[in-house]
Amino acid sequence: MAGPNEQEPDDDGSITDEMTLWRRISPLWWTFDAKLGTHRVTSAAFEDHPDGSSMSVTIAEEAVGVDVLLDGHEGYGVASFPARVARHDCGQHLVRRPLPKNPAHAEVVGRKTDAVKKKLRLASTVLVQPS
Amino acid sequence: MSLTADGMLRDGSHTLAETLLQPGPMVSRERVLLTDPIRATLALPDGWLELSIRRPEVAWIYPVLARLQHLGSLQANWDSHGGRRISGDAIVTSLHVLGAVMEDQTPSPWIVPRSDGGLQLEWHEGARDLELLIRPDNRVALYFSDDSGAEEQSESAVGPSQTPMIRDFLSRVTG
Repeated sequence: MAGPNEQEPDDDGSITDEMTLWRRISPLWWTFDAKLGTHRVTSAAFEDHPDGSSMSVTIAEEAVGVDVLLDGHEGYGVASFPARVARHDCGQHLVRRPLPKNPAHAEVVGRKTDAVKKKLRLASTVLVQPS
Repeated sequence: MSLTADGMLRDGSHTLAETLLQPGPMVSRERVLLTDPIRATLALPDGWLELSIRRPEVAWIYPVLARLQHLGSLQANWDSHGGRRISGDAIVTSLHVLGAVMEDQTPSPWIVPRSDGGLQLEWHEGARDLELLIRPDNRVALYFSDDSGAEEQSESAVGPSQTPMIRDFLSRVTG
């Protein structure tokens, strides 16, 4: 994430609105909603890193598979949401940040207000259930 | 010790009643009433918290304490995204807030850890949401939204002045 004296990185148009973003979610961020009969993710799962870097995601269309997110993270789940929601409904920039083990890694850059986190939560579907 | 046919507990040659009635050494004991508060200790990341729990205990108290105990034991990077350890202050503040706003029949909150070391107390009913963000520095942020899409939020230091407002929002979600 850009610091106070840094400029926010430009939105990367090569991550198109039609793409899907995956986010690895700690088992502590899910609850089972008995009424809906499904797992529900908390808005707390859509924060930036405490070290100041922006929220990590993986571009689904470019990932080798969802396993790349879960390797070494037993019990974790994966939430999936549209790039369009992050960019247009939440006013975030999408920026590529490839990692050696995950070239499809990206960041969702921008202020994560409560309203933004709620929109991301509501737009998310459960791709991998936590265990 | 065995249970006899006449329904009495027997230990050797004496029934339990006989044993209890036998004079024993005079020992001074603290008088404890069944209505006395229950004393409990909650382990925090940076110490201990002594608790006094009123009887009869409200339904939400033990699930909440168990959850806080668990969250307080998390190590750094518990979320795999660099999350900080949950602060003892956030746990104590959460208990203060819950003690002030919860009624006996209020549903237990969903308590989730925050990457910054704080906690989030949540109640959801349909499209109505109340989230209390307990920050590591003891500030509390409130976020409420309802079926109409109306949203309200505020942030302030923890204090009694917040209690009526939080109670009001809580009743709008759970009432």
